[in-house]
Parts: sequence; C-alpha cells; structure tokens
Amino acid sequence: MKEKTFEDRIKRRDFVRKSLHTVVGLTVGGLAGILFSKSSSEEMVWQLDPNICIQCEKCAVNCVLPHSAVKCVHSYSMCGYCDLCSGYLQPGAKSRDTGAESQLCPSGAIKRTYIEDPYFEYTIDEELCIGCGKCVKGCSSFGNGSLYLQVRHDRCLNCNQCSIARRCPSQAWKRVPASRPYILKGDESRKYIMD
Amino acid sequence: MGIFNLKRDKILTGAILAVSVAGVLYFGTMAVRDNAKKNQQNPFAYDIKSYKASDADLIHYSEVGRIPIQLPKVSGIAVGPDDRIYVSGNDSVLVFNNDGTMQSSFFTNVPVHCLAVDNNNDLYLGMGDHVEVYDQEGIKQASWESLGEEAIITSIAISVKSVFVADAGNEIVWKFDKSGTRLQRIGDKNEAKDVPGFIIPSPYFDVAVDPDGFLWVANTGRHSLENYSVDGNFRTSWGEFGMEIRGFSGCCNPSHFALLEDGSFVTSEKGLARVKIYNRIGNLVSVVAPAEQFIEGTVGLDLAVDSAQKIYVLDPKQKLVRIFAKKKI
Repeated sequence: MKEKTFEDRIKRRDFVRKSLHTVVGLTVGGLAGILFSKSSSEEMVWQLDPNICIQCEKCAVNCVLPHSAVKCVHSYSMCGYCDLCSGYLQPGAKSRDTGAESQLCPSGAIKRTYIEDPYFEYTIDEELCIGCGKCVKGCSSFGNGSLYLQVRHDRCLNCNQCSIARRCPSQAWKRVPASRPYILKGDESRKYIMD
Repeated sequence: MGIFNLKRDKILTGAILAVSVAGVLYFGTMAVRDNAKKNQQNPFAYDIKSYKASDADLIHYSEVGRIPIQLPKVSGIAVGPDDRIYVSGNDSVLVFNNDGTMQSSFFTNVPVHCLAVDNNNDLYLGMGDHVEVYDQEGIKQASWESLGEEAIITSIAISVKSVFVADAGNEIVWKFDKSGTRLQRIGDKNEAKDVPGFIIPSPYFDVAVDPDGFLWVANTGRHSLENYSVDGNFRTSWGEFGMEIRGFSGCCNPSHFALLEDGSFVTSEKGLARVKIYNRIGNLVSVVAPAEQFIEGTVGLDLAVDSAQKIYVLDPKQKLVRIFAKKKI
C-alpha cells in the first residue's frame, strides 16, 4: 500500500476547506434569501376593480358584516357637479330636489349641496351607504362614472375567502397589496378622462 | 253505547274539519305572502327599460347599411362634399366611398378625437388640445396652436370663412380663420346679453353650422341647442330635459347632433342611446333609432348626413357606421 505523501494530505485538506466554505456560503445565502423573500411578501387585501364592476347589487347583501364593507366613493375630479345628477335623482324624478321621492339612493346616503348656479356637490355618508351600487349605475349610464364602489378597509375583515368575491358575476374582485388597498378612478390633474 | 259512538264521531269529524280549515288558512296565508315577496320590486334595481321603448309610429327611418370599422376604438365621423365617409379612431383616419368600400386610410401619430371636412375636402382633426389640417392624401398641411392644458376638442364645424372648435375642457367654442388664427371666444356667460354660458359636465360638446350659415352648439348641461351668429352673438335656443322621447335625457344631452338640408336636427343621446329628428324650432318630428337598437353601454353616437339625407351613426360599442334612410311610405 502506497504511503500518503505530504502533497496528498495538502490536497485533501484543501478539498475539506473548500467544501466547508461552500456549505457555509450556501447556508448563509439560503438564510438571507429566505429572510429577503419574507420581508418582500406583502400582506394582500381584497378590493373591487371599478372598471370591471357591473353594479349587480350583490355587494350589498353578501358581506359577512351586518353592514357591507363595500361603499360608494366619489371621484370629485371626474364629477360634473350636475344639477340633474343621474346618480342622485330617480330617472323619472319630477323635480331636482332633496325630497326622498326624488332620490335614487334607497338609504338616502348621498348628500346634495348647492355650490353655485347650476352646480351641486354630492358626498357619500358611508354610515348610511349599503353598497348596492344603484347610484353607480345611474352615474355610469348617463354621467362620467365618478361614483363607484370600493371596499373600505376600516371596515373589511379581509376574510381569506371573501363571501362577496365568491358571488361576484364579473370577477371584479382582486387581491391587492395592503400598502395600496384602493383601485381609484380619476386623475386629479384632468377635468375629463379621455381614453 | 250508540249515543257515545255518535258523539265521538261528531267530535272526530269536527276536529278533522277544524284542522283542515286551520291548514288551509295557514298555507293560504303563506302562499299569499310568498307571492307578495316575489312581486316585490328590487329596491336596488336601476331600471330605465320603460324609457327605451319607442312608439313604432314615430320611427320613420330604417337601417339600410353597416360599415364595420377595423380600429380598436372609434371617435368621430364626417361626410365630405362628395359623400365620402370619413371615420377617425385611435391615431387613424379611414376614408370610405359612399357605397361603403374602403378608399384609403392614414395615420396621424396622435389620437384623433373628432373631425370635419371642408368643401375642398381638407380634413380638420381635433387632436385633444389642438387642430391639425390634412389633405385628401393624408398629408399634414398645418398644426394649429394648442388651446391650453385644459383643452379637450370634441367637435369642429366649418363655415365658408371660419372654423369653430368646441373645447369641452374650457367649456367654450373657439372661432378660427382657415389659416389657423384664433379670432374669438364664443359662448362666455354674459347675463347682460342673455348668454347662458356652456355647462358641459362630460366630454361631449358638439357644434355644427346650419344651411343659413349660423352656428349651433349643444349646451348639454342645459339640455339645449343654442344658436349663435358667426360673430358669436347669442340668438336663440331650444330643448328641454325629459326621459321620455320628446326630451333630452340624463345629466347632459344631446351628446351629438347634425343638420339636415331643411335645417332640422338629428340628435343623439348617451345613457339612453337614441337618435331623433327635431324640426327647426325644436319640435320632435320622428325617431331614427330608438334605444332598443343599441347595445347596453353604448355611449357617444357621432352623427353625419350625406347629400341624399341618409343619416350616418357611428356606433362606438359595435365599431360600426350604421346607415339610416327614411322609410318609403
């Protein structure tokens, strides 16, 4: 049997050292990768894409909360501030006033405030809004679509399986990063949005 | 024993009858309640179906042709002096012969929002904030000054000497000469002169010049058509709100209009997409196409008229030029 030379021993020591370096390197790299991936996986929340929503009325009645977390919101930059607001008034309203019989909203959640002739501002009382989207339909049909539905994250429980999303006929529900939880319409710098 | 049996039978019969009556009453009440629930209106439904139908006697036009437009999006239509049909969409203009065959097309590099054709077949294109002039070959002849950051040009009308440009962003009509020199603002609110001012809640703001050379402007927020002299003096107006067929529906209509050779108006609306004819003093004459003839979600039906008084409706939802002619009675 051939006796191991000094050079053989050097080679073996070198191999062991290099292997150890590789193992340590892979371990440190792997741990760093895991830590990095954990830090970059942001929490996701539910949101309703207003460009896909068809205002089917299901948001009002399918939330697990007693009062739906879906509310109407208003893009003031898109609003025409119309006296004859088709999101506020019944299609055949006899008069353009705040009378309950003239209002489209079944819960009276839209407030109408006179600005100057012939302009009015419309604001949503979220405590009263039930998220039915009736005003959204009216506004989208005749107006600029400045009224639209959004999940309000001060109310939403962020269920794993959102009971409204399951029933949405237009697949308008999405998971979005919690840091950007709203899908907003409108562009504050422009009066009208042209495609 | 016999008397007891008789009594027992009577009691039994009475009990069965009582239970039967109670059952009938209970289930009857439940059925009525269920039926009432079924008939209850959905309080969240937004229903404008009743306004979509139109009296058949009022429909004096029928659809006689369709030209499919091979563009992702369509924006405007015009008919030239030789009855050629011009359609804009995206950054293109398509030119069709009057029989619907495609004649030519050209690119503009900038999205075209509206267009008009001069008597010498020059094309005036509204490109958002400015006007560009092209010749028949699609060669750019001029690019006019920008009307500002807020400007959104939605319609152009041409008279013998002037070009009128409807700017929905600034809610004003600009008068230019044909070389592109800006001459005047038309339509500023002026109570002393009874000029109501334009209320334009959405980017639909149409202009046209009538056969007598006067300018007509759709003041959509007031649901009216307003008449101005070419010098910008307010003369008269007509129109009123109404979901029914005689009025202009929604927040802001008519979205588009065109003029027939006798000075009567062809109008189109958004929301309730319908096309109608009014005479020179604003009385409804007939319906060209009721809302039932358009797909839900159709918004912005631009209009044009040819020398045979056929009406061209640009349907942006179906990407079609729909041609309507008066029915022969």
